[in-house]
Amino acid sequence: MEHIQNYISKLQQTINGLPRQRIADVIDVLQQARTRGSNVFIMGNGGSASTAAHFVCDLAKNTRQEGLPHFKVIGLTDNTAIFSAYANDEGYENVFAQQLANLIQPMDVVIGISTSGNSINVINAIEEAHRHNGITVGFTGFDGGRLGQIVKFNIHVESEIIEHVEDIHLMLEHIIVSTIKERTRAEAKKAAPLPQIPVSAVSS
Amino acid sequence: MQTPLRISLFGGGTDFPAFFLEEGGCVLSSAIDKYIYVTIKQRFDSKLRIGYTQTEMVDAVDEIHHELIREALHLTGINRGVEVTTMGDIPSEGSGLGSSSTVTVGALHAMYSYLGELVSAERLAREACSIEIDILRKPIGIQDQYIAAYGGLRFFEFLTSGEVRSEKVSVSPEAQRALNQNFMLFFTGVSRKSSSILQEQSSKMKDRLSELREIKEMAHLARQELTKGNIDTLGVLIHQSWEVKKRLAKSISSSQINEVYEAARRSGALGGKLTGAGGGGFLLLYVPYECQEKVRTALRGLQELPFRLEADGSKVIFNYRRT
Repeated sequence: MEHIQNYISKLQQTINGLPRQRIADVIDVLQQARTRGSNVFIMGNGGSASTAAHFVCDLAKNTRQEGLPHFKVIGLTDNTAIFSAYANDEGYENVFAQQLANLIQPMDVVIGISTSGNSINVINAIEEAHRHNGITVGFTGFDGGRLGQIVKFNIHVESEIIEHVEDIHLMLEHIIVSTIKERTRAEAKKAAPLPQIPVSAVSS
Repeated sequence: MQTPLRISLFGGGTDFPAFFLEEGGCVLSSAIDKYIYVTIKQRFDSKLRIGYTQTEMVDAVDEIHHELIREALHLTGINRGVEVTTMGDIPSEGSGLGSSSTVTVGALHAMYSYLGELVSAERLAREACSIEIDILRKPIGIQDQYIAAYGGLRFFEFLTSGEVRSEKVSVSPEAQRALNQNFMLFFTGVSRKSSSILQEQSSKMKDRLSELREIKEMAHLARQELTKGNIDTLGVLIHQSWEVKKRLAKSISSSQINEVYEAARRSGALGGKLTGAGGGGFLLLYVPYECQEKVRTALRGLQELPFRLEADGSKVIFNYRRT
């Protein structure tokens, strides 16, 4: 029981310390990408691979709104054939960067998720993104690692407990998607005032 | 920016504010896979370059002759240092495919994207209406702006309050296939400005209330039949609706167009109509597949435009900015 209580209260502490402004910045970056028609790429390893896939699903599906552009979001963790082909032939450190090289356009958004911030395949992909003038985002934990230093927007989870970092990365994804969903609804409702045409002007 | 043109199927005329603000109106129309493309690009200098069938190079927005682009620039607040060009899949004037509103929606959408602002289809449509009707005083309805912004096969209701309700008409995959197969478009060879016809139509509106009410009823009926999957009934209804519509203004049809239409009917077309205000432009026909060759032969001399219905509204298809 003590461990359970401990887990919960420590997790709560870490959540309280989340960089809210940085999360808001990433939400803006994503909304702008949607407006431009830019792609969004998401990747990670292990638990972070599952968060990446979850993020892709939510961002693509839950933000859809009739009359507004959809997100063009692509996961780099989910095609086993291409993933293993690059791992086998080019080395595991290149599995994301090589996929990205085929698809990336300037101003696309590339999101790397790594609890340590030191996953070399994620770092290589972020560097590939920078070579193509992509906008890079990191979800990190521990001391942020190299990923935290090189991305344009780093959302750092102040914790050295891997489970907590992974929990909160998933939560970040949900905060981002649900905020975008809310904004999307509000935007769809917002409309310019109705044309006011004096009936006499057209029927006389 | 890629913005679709449209075929108006039912209800044209009831989308005029003078009518729907009194009685309520509705239309059934569909976007098609023919488009107007609008590009916008930053310039090195502060001039404004507008490219269409002509090229304009000016220093201030007010000097622009292309009125739709001029007013879209005014509305979005862009006043210097851009090039805006338009390209279309069809002749630029008098096609009856809603091109002027399509240009307005596409230009607004391109400009907002250039500014990095996310705007809804609803807002694009309303602002396009505001440019064309409030500011430029065009004697037009408000269906084209909405279908260009939203895309798809849609039923719009125009309420007396001024509110517009947009509903995607759900058709089965089989019905969708049949629609794509059975519709044909022919260019009548006559390009006309819609404004003179619409002016006549507007001026007679008070005497044509019973026709407009009938057209509105048929639009409701057509939507029901479509949802039920009774596609061929739609063809027959288009014929009936066109017969009523011709009574709205003399200039809507001409003896030449009536002859072409009758020839198509004799060859197996169940129904048809001019796609826009009338007078010329494109002739839409509903022809069961087995009669299509016969209709083509009967109408040889008129250019056919193969097309399909389009699901998407105005959208960014390419954006290449490094800053």
